[in-house]
Amino acid sequence: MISMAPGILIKITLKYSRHHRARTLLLILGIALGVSGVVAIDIAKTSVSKSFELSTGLVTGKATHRIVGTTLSLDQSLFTTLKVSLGIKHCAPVISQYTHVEELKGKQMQLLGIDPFSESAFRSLSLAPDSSAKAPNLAETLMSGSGVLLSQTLARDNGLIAGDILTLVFGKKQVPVPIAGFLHSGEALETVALTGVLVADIATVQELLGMGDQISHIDLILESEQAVKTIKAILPKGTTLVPTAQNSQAVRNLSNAFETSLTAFSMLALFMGMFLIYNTVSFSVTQRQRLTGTLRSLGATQRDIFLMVTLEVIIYGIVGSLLGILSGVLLGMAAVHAVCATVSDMYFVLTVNQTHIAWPTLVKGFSAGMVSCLAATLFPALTASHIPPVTLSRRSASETRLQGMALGLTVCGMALLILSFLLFVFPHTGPALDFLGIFMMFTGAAFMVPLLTRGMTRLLLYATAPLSSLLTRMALKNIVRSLSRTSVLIASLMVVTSVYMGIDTMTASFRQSVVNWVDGNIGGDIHVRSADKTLPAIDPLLVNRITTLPGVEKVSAYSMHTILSEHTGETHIFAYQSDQSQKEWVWTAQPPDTMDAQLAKGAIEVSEIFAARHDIVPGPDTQITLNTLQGAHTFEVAGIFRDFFMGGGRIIVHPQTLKIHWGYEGITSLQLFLKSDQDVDKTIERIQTMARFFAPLEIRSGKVLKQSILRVFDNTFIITTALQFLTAIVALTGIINAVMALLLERTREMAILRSCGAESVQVTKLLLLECGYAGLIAGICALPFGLFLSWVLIDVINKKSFGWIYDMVLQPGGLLLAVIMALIAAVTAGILPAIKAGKNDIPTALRME
Amino acid sequence: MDIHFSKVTKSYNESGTRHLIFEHLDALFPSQTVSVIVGKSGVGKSSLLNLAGGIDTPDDGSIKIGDTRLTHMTDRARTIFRRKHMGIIFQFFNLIPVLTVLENVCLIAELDNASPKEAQNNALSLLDHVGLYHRKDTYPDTLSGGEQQRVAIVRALVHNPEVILADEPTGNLDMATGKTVLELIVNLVKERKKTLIMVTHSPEAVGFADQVFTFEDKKLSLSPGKGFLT
Repeated sequence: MISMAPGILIKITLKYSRHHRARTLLLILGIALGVSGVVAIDIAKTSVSKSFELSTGLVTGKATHRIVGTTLSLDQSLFTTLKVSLGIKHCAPVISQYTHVEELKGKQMQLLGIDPFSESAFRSLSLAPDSSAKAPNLAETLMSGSGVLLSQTLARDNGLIAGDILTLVFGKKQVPVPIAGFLHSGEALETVALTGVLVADIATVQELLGMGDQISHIDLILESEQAVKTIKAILPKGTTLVPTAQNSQAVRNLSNAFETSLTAFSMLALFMGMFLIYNTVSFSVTQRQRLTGTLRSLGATQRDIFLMVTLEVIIYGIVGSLLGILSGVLLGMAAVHAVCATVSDMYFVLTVNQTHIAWPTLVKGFSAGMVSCLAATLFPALTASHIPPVTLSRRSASETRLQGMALGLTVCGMALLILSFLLFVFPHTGPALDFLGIFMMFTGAAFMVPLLTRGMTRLLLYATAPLSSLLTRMALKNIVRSLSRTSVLIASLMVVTSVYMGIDTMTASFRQSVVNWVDGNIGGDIHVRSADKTLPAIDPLLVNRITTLPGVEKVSAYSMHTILSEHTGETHIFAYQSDQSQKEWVWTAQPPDTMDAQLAKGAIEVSEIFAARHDIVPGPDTQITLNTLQGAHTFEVAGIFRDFFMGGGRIIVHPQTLKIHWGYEGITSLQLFLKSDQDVDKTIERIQTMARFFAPLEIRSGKVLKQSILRVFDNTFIITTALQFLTAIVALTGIINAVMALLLERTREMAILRSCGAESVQVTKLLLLECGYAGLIAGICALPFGLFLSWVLIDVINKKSFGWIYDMVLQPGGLLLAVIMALIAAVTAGILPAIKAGKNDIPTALRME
Repeated sequence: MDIHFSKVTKSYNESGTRHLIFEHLDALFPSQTVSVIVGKSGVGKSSLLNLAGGIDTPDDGSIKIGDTRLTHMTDRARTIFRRKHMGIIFQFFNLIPVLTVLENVCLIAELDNASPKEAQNNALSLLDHVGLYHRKDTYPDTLSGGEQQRVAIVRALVHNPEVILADEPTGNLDMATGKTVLELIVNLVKERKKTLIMVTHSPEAVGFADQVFTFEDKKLSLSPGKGFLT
């Protein structure tokens, strides 16, 4: 039987909130900010999925399978074999290459070379009705000239008409092509997808790209397992038949870990929101102790009080969550571009950026907000329900109770910290447990605050004894005297400072590791590589001339390609003719100085990310199978090295291995180490002059290359940094809330001080000193937890998300800054209330209860 | 409803030390009587009142109100019993600052899911009786101490409880106002034939009482000629 009438209790609680509008608004804002982080990241993730779907869906079409070559190219005669000899009804040769189009503001597009006569079963491309009257259908349009078909929407947006010339850019190679016609679709999403492709006849594309009789892949629609077996039986070595769905999913999965890390960070923002709710409600419960005690005396049961506190937060939760969804949508739309850019840079190309807001995202955001509110309110509501009737309760009793509980709380806190440590140390999958561990860590830290505060204030009293004034001693003693309130403030400030320190240390450590890696692996004063993406190898004569320039002291010369393997997907493969890089070995099968000999025997080296992604476990018989021109071949893994190369990592082989197994020869890239007296820019000019009769080269100074690489890495943390600030704002609203509440309820106490003779400025100074010391205590307490969080982010979450492992680099300056910021935050939050307290009218303030 | 204390013992803990308030206390507060408890500050008068109201529980002994044994009830049951059968008047008024005068006096009825209309009618009638009908829509912080206590008295009576507990109801008022409030409480209680237990320092209260208890040396003793102990 429900014994309570919630109406009157809700009325009391809402009226109470109306009297404290600022605090209520700050609470709602905190919920909204936490929810907006979750919604924004979810929008970014679903948009990446949608963009991927649109970028690849049109190209894949209805194909069920695809034949690919291990060197990402096939001889077109295989198509003839399939069509004529095997009689495969639905098969189509395709060439696919990414390019930038100057007339479309450098937009990255996918150039698709298709056979118009094989095409119809796969993709439903249709010409726009106002295409050239001379060639009304797709096949005739494509075969009538050497032009390309472009999306009608894209053309209209850029003021292009049929016959206009588009400049396709492949590195530095520029190829002009006319617009032959326009593609359109009746479906909105397909119209968007079309904006990412240029379509031309396959022969035209072969000519543009200088591919001879090579193609990228063959699309197939196979309806039976027997057909699959038949084709597999005739495939030449070096080619593979893959289901397109599996292939797409494998590519899509590349960025899963990155997106999971974004989710983890957004959950951190939500957790801060929960902490804010917990602190605000706890404060409110403590402040309304007398009200609650009165209600209990008059006949409100413990359940009535519990429901009163919970229902109040539910109401704010609904408002905050709805606001959070709105702001999250706006933030999400801004985040989509950054996230898609990072995914394109690091994992797979997205030719279409589509912002996708699905209703499950909104439901997820709302649910996250409500669940957080309820979870955060549970303990304060239980506490409120146990407040004794007013004739039994004393403020001093609650303080005495907390003082007595401090040791017990500390023990619980330490237990939670140990549990969270064990959770991180023992292997597990999924970000949910990581998030639980972080939650347990901060909850444990918060439990330890009362005892830490007592200890720190004793220490500060001792440390400031020689110089301290009465106000300093009062301020420190007041912090302990009102521990039930100050510990909540210090806990929330400590948590936000820890989070800030943790993320800051993580990004600084990562950046330092990347800088060290770039210096060690992408060193060199000048970097040269082929700028013609259709002809990756630099002419050997030019290589010789460049490397023998008088000012060149040392050279790293290597070949870099992408191969396709059934088990590892697209794999970046390197072969060094000469290597000046300094590798940091994680593991070697033999002593590191024998690595060159191991490579010469046919072994391979793999990067740490590659090893993590493909479950390569160090051991005596560590091997990996890759597809080669001769079919599947198993290679011994000689070593695993630390590396930040993008995407799925890379492997290193001997040049002879590369030639034998994948048919690649020549050098694609050079790193030149100049003598100390040589001018970099002048040397670059000499090389440019030397190269003017050869295929175009991309020549950059090492400094410029390093900056562009670091920019890509920095971009991966843009979202993290944004979430860091969001987290800080959420937490700061809680701190402002807490400080205002703390100072406001002492209005009468301050009035008593004033009536005893304290000046306004002395009262203000006392309160600001309390805020400052509370901030300082919070900042110092945050140090160990901030470092613990850094370790979790670096060694647990980042490792799982990116596969990167790097050392934590402590920056004493950064840590000190964080402590100072905590102090400043607390003082800043207290300025207005402290000034107000000093200036309050004494008689009015004395009458306050 | 008679209120019967039988061998009641109560103590409290402070800094790990047990402090005895009273031991094996027996007392009878007969129905429809005015009982006054006097004694020095800190002897345990308010503690006894808390026990009578079911706000606190004794270490030992039994407290019966009518046929209901309070000491055998859960906190929830005692709370519900209290709001149905008791009205409490506090020394410091304890009005809810965010509710109007009318809302304050109807509070207990609303907590008890009583008919809002009936509660409001009773409230308005009582407010009129105490001369505060015209202040029904104002907030407590605009009222004087005496006015606030009158509102508290109405709150304690509006749901027609059998027992009124008053803990130093005039303790926060000046002498003149206190006298007025005291008379108001006693008159209303006697008019409505309620049982009143009042803890007070006020000498005038003794004159109104049917029985006077003195709390001294951890014992409750009845003044001669004013009621009986058990």
